[in-house]
Amino acid sequence: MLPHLRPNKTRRRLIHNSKGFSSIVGAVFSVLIMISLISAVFVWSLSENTRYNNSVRQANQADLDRSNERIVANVTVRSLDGNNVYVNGTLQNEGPLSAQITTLWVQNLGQKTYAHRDSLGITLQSGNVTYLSGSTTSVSLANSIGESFDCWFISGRGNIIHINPLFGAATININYSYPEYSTISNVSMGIGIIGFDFKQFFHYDTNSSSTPSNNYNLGPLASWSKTYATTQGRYTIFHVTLTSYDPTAQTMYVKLPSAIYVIGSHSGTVKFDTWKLVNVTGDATTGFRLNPTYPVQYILPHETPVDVFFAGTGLDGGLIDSGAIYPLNIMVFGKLGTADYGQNVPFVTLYFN
Amino acid sequence: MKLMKTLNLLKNRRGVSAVISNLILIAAVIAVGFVVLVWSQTQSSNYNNLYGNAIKSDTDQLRERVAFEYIHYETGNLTVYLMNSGTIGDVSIASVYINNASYASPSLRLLSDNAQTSSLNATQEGYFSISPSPTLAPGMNYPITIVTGRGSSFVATFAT
Repeated sequence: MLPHLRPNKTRRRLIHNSKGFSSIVGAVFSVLIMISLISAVFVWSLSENTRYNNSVRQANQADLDRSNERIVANVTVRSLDGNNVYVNGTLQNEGPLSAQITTLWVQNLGQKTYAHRDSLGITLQSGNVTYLSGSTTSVSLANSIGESFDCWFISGRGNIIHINPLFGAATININYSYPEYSTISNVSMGIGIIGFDFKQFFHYDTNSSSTPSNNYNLGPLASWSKTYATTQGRYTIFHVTLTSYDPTAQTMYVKLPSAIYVIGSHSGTVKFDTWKLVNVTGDATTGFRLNPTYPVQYILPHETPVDVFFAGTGLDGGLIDSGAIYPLNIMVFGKLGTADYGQNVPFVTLYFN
Repeated sequence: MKLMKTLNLLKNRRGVSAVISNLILIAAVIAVGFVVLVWSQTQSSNYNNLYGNAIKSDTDQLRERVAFEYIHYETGNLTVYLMNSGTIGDVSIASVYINNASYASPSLRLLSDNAQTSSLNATQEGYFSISPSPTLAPGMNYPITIVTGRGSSFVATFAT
């Protein structure tokens, strides 16, 4: 046999020799079984690690959400009848996420007693404000009349929401509340039960001294004048935001002849000019419309800020000296619940050109 | 003719012992192989269970959050109001630590109806009362630590 043919013969002989072949097959099978077992364990371990990593990520996200939650509670805590404590005012979600308020806690600081109200179920979308009024956020707390209180809310994420610190120390009994965007000076306090928000004082000055026709377009509130100066003799519409803080939580109805008035003078003679309550429809964003001849009545639910409008030329009492400042007052007249109501609220000073 | 050949083969006992020994050897190898296979499967299954339980325990612990709503101390009695603010239920209180003293498994009640419960589900609120011994000094701040059944601990401070 030629030398170059020998390897083929050897290979053929090896192939036809079946001795030891079963060992190879067995070894291959064993290796395959081992590989499949190890692979299964490895893949399963990976999936478990993935599960753990997901849980870590979710826990971190939950903590982040919790720390980003920001609810501002501008509320009052008062006892009206000695057995119930009312928490009224506003809750504003200033955080980027929606939040849920689940529980209210009230503590009587003097008596060292406390009570809670759970299942409040208040959901606040980001930027939203909710008004807490009436008995929806009250708790039963005996012997509480004249006492000081603290209160706080619990959110669904477990945050504790205390009263806005702008209102002072928590140990002070707050007998008044504030609009959600206010500072302390924004509400005239201690004058009856009407609150006035200085930040919401605007006026719209027409170019004419005559009364506009109904459906007169006043535009959005942002286009109104925020100054404390106006020109006398022109038909002017005043926008004020009033809030009723009636301790009995009744609805207030403001009717004519409620008016803004100013006591001025001209050549040594006292003049008494008024801007009367007027019907305005629409809203601050899309725009207001004036209806001078329409009937008018503004309803002020308890602790709910309401836009109220007064209009006129301010000439009904006679021309007053220009180039001077005058104090403006609101004469509120109407009903509180079913009872008659009247109040005088001094609020801003206006420069008359 | 064929029958005769078969009978001759059966009568011929030469080489039978080699066949039998081979059969026995194969049977033994198969038996041992099966034992090894079953053993390895059992081992890997045990490992899977142990590792899975460890991972589940860790993830459950990660999802536990407890918020302290209010802690009130009066006349030697401390009441702690809690909320399960995590994303997992069945949060039990295994022990409470106040002022270096521990109190095991305080009786937990639901805030909504005062019903006794062993654990709080997600978003559920509950409370427990204990009488710290020695009594706490008035006008002081104390830390309180609660340890849950899963081993998470949460700390708060309260004033007496």
